[in-house]
Amino acid sequence: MKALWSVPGLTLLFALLAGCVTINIYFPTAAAEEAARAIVRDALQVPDGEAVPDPESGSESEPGSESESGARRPAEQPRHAGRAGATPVLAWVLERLVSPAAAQSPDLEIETPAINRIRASMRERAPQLAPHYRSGAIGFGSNADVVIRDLSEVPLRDRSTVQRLVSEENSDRDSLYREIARANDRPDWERQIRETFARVWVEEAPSGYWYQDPNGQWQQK
Amino acid sequence: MDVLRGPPGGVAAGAGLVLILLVGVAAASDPANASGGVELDLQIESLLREDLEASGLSTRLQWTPAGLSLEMRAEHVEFPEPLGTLRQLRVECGDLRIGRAEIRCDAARLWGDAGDLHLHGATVGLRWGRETGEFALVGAWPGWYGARGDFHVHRDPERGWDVRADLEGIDLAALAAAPRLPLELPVQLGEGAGNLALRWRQHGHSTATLVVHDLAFNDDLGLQAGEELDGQLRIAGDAAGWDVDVTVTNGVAFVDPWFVDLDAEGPVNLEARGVVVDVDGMALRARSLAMEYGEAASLTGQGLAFSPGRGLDGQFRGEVAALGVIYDSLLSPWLVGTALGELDAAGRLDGEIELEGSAPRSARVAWSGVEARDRRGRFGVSGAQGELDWSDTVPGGPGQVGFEAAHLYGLPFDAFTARVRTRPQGLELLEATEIPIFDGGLRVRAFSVEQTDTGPDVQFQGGIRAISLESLTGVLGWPRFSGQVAGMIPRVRLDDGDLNMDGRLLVQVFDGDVVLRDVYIHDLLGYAPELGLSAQIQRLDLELVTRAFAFGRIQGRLSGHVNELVMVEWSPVQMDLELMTPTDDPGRRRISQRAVENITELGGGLQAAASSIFLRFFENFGYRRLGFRCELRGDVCTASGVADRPDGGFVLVQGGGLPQIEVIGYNRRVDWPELIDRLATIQAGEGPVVQ
Repeated sequence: MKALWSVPGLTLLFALLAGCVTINIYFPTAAAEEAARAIVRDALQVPDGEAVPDPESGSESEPGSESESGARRPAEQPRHAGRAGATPVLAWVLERLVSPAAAQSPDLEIETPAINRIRASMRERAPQLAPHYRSGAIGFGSNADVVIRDLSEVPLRDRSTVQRLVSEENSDRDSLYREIARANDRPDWERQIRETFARVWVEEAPSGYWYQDPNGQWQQK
Repeated sequence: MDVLRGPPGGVAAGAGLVLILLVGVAAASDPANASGGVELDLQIESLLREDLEASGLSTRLQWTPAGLSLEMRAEHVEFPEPLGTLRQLRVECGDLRIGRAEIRCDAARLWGDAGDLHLHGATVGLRWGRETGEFALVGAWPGWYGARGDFHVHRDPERGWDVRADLEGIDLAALAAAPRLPLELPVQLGEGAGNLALRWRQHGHSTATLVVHDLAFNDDLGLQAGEELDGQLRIAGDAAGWDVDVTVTNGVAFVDPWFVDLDAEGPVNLEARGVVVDVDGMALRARSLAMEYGEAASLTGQGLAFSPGRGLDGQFRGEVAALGVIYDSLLSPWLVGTALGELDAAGRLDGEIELEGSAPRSARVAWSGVEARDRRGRFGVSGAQGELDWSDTVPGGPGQVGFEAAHLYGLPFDAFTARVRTRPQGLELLEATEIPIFDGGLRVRAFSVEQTDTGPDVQFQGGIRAISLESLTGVLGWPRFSGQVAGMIPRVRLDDGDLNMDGRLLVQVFDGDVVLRDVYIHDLLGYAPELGLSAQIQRLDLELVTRAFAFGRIQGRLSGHVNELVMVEWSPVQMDLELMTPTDDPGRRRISQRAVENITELGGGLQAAASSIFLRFFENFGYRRLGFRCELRGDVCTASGVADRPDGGFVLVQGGGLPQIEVIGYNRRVDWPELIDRLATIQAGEGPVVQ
């Protein structure tokens, strides 16, 4: 009798236990961080900035001369053009440095045609954004985006260009986070990917760059 | 409290006069009694009258043979805003003339300190009508805010105040920074000079014209700024309604995200008629509004009303004569980051819209001669025209859309027109139409798009009418081959940005059939648009295939499938491909020496078991089966053939008859781009040299 009673009781217990079982596929935090770091270094093109040899840069693109308050006068445009010309070499070096790292993170796929295109687009834009990061006109937002901080020092005629660069960069970043989530068949990871990137953008930013803390307050690295 | 000195005869008259001036109460006085030097001092501790409050008043009146002079002082006078508090006020009048009808002083001098503004002996003329109660004050502008000019203040008991001022060279930055300005500007003025012509009547028509030169402004974050701006503001009217005219003729302005160069794009004009402002409720009404943006665009509005709680009401009509200019300066900054953010645009657009509480109630729009070309080459349209009529409650009237030519990633569409109708949340096709593509076209039997809470809901029913592959392959940059593609598309779904196509497309090619299914497009206008599909391949004639690809000559049939093919920029990045000689009715099977060589070359690591010397003696070989499997993931194709061999190789061509030939591959991991390169080399006629 007791055994008979206990059979439905046990069944119920198991049913309840079974009902409580949830299958979690955890977000691969470490892999995501590693992937984000590779992408961010590539996009910023300033990892270990001075340490990366830049055979084409010559004396003109010394960090000191670049960070002077200039970078706004039209006369300096050719120098920026020269800097942009040097970029592919830098990008090449980084690409070689970075690829193996990315390849070592089997938990998060970041090698798809769409992601590669977005990264190339961001890499191409980086030299145009860099002087504005340095001057503090723009900075890293707390939502893994780029936010305008203060355009007062940017010449009026260039402000819409800065705004356009920021909008395009943010559009690329939105696509990037979405595509990484999609490439891993987990569209629901987009938010966590964005959070990871938000942290890594700030960590990898060179000193002097501005970023928003979680309260939205501007801080300088 | 009052201290009076001098002969009693003059006391009454003098005291009376002071009271008249300060208190404004009419009293009898008789200046004829004055003879010799008489001086009268009057001190009043404080004085309160309607909107005037003064303290520490003292008055000295002197009667000399030369005339009557008056000096008044007040330590503290409180005027109504915006005049505010005035300290150390001193009025000197050396030529006071007191007549029966009026009291006047043509050369009074004023001193005072209002904090930010000071008077240092400014010369004014004062006049007071004793019977009429009129009051007039005329003088040169005391230099406040860098301006010079004159002013005239007149007060009539019946008609109220009448103020005129003609000022030049006003320092607008100083004026804007003045604490007494009734409104707080959202920007700081850097520089700028203004000329003001003011005529203000308390009860009646008033006008004010402010001409501004070289104005510069900036907000804290630099998101709103202007430089070298020239313009004019004119306000005219009365309490029943004001007419406002604003013209900005020169300069540059950035109002995030828009940048306007007025020197290049022409003046911006704004005219508002019958403007009534309710300051308390922050509400604003206007009978009409007209705006012009150079020659490029204009906007008119009727019956406008705005309040923060309700939003904007009104009927607007706009004309865009130069869509290119408007796109570049106003639309593109707003569309940046979207598919429409990088266009070269031109054309004309006219529209009307009715707003209620900022929400559109009805709209009509017509466009013609519209050209739009994506700078990234993704799409383009030329000679686009159309008109649409929309309402938020009922389906709109019949409209139409069309273009003369268009393309999507190089795929050309010929001239096309469709009759459509808007719905409150979408658009529907009124009758079946066809978009011509080469000799065939995309047939659209039914189409509608509806905005829902979860995103746009697309309904599509139609098909593809026999498009020739010869033209299509040319556009895609593939080797040209003939055939055609046709099919029914019963449904198209838009799912999370992906365009999914139900139904099957039949591609008749190389005397065989390829049936496409599960076709989808991901991120059509994004960085790497993806085309995905699966296909069943039935009995392709290999002789036609090899001829098309200049690959030597293979006779026989080929069947198989490609599952989950994903193409980016028309190149596969993922697929499971299998192509084999069909088991039923395989037909005549021969392979030419050159084709064998090409397969050998294509494989790179593939090896021909037959020796090269042996090959050279024969033109053709028979074969039993041939086949190729490829599991493509990224750039790596994992290859296999019709059979595996114990030594790890795989058979690509299995010989039949004599002389027997067998092509065996050993490299199972093939680099796909390399494979395609070699195929291209073979087609370019640089075939391998067999020794």
